[in-house]
Amino acid sequence: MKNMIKLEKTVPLDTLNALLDKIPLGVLVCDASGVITHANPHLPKDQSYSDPNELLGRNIFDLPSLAKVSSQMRECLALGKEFVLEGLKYMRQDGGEAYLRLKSFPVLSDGKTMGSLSYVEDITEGIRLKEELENGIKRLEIMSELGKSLKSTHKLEDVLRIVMIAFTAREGLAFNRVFLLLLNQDETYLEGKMAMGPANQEEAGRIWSYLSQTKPSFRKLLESHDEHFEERDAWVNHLVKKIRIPIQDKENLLVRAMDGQSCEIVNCSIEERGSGKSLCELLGTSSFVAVPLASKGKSIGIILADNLISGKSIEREKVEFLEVLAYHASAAIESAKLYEKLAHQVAELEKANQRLKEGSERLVRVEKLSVMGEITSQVAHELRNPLAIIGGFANSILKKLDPNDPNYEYLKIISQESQRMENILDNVLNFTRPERAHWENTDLNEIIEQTLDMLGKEIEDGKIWAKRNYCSPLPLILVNPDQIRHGLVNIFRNAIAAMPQGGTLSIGTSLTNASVKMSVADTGCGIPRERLDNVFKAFYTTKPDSNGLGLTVASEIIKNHNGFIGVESEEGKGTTFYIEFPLKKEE
Amino acid sequence: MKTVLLVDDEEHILKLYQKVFSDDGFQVKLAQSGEQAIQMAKEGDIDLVILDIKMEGISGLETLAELRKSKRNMPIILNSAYSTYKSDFQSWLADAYLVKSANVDELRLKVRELLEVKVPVER
Repeated sequence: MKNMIKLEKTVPLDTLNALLDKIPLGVLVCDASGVITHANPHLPKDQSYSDPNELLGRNIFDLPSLAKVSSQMRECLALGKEFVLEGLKYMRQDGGEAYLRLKSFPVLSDGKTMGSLSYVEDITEGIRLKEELENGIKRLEIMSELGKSLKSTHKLEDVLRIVMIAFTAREGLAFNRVFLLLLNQDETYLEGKMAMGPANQEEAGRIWSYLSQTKPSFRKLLESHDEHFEERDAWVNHLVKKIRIPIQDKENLLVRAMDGQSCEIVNCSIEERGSGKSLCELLGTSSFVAVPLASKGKSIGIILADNLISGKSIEREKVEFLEVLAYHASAAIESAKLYEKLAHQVAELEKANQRLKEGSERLVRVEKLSVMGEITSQVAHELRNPLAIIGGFANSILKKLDPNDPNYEYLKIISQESQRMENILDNVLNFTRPERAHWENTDLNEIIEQTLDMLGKEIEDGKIWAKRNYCSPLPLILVNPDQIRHGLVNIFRNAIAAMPQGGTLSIGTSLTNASVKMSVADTGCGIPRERLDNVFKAFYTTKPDSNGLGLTVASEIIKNHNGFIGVESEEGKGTTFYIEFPLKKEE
Repeated sequence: MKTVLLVDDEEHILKLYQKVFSDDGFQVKLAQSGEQAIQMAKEGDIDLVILDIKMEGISGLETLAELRKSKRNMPIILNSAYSTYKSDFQSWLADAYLVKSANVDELRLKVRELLEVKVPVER
């Protein structure tokens, strides 16, 4: 056996012990029955002795620190088996937990086990360092996963959700519940925004068993958009929405923590009054940690986390990591908020741009129209004199002419056509006359009556019954009464012309929340479906004595009033025009 | 026989109205400008004026104002291709405002009405 130590009878025991004392490790020697014969000064001291010499004569199996290795020790002594044990827990004299590394060899003499020699080493520091290293690596992994997830989105909701998952996931900070509060837009209130965690033990059990079955990776968790989350977080979300703290309340626990910009563990058993107590009561927890969120030195909110379900206390060591995580979360939240704000501003700008574009198009159109209008009006007036002359002479000659004269018919045509041209000019002039601001708050019913009065003779001659069905009183509408009268004349005349044998002209008005409506229905010949689309088009007419401008002018006038005109018709039954004026005149 | 003064700078309008109103049995006098019309009115013997508005020289509205100074009760009809002058208060001095048209019946009626000629207009 290689590691066997053979004691020579020639080496005096004192010399041997002195030698063992020089070894910079704890050394413990016992005889075959376990009685300690030597303990060197480097032996780690536990609570049962303060000086290694106190151990002499005691049995190795009675030492509390070594109680756990008694069976191995027995085997070592009885069968000569050496053994090594790492991480043997013991209590230091100061009460702290510590870990031992124990290596025992049998001591042989003449092939017989005389006892054992053990090296005892305190490896607490090493274990602690190793743990710290492992934790550090784990945290780095978490941070890296978190960073990747946060980078993948600009949406505030997503960012918040990811941060909360990092707080609650077992691979993350493993808190039971987490509550997120953010400053409102004006930075006057700290408001509960979102929360994550089970409502009670039962729910927690369900979630944990679900998670242990599916075993999602941390990454998967971060990426999940599972509806279950919303559902199961209903209660905590309900709680968090209740929190609304004015930022002015400097006494408030959370405002203080946020202003201080450092993590704080709140122990609810000592929060006996004020904001701390009420918050503890609301959350129903015994302790929680408050983690302020700040970006570039400016507070943006606070995260609260607790272990209500497991009851595990919040470890101080976690706090440092919390601060790092909070730092990254804050940056992500802030940039998501900025992104949202930016997106909002971009949308606003786009809208403004659109309005500007529309405005300028409108301006150009108005400008064009007014120039066109002036020219047209000029031309129309200049045409009136020659027309009056041509038609006037034709009429004058006609009167003296024998109807049997071969030229009578032709002169009649000249007369009629000049009359038609005059009608066109009337419409054009009414339509293009440079607008004098003559808008008035007007009662539509009154305008209709005035127009019917004006057409009184035509209505009577045409054997038309004008049936009125007014909604009265109507609110006044801001219109140009002359133009509206002109438009209505055209529509009424169109209806009268559609009923050459007479009929009923039904005129109705009605009121809605936003508009005044009117309808004009005749019992005339109707308009074929294929022609209906064209009724408002200029110079589109099927009537020989019409100039094809009447309805065009009427529709333009109504559109100029931001109104609406529509038509329905059934062949053989009649035609109905629908007109609508908005109650408030828009720009 | 009543005398009607026609004032217009359009020669053909004058010719047309001359025919229409002499056919109706009036004595017709013609003026091609406002200035001329004022002069002729001073010379007297005019029962009614048909007055164009847009003319070279002084306008019909100015002519109207001038005529009203001496002949307060003489009927004057404004007759223009434009209807827009209706809103000009100067036009209110006239007894009637008619827009020019190939259909002169309205004008003929108005002349008769103002001169209280009882003979109906033959249409």
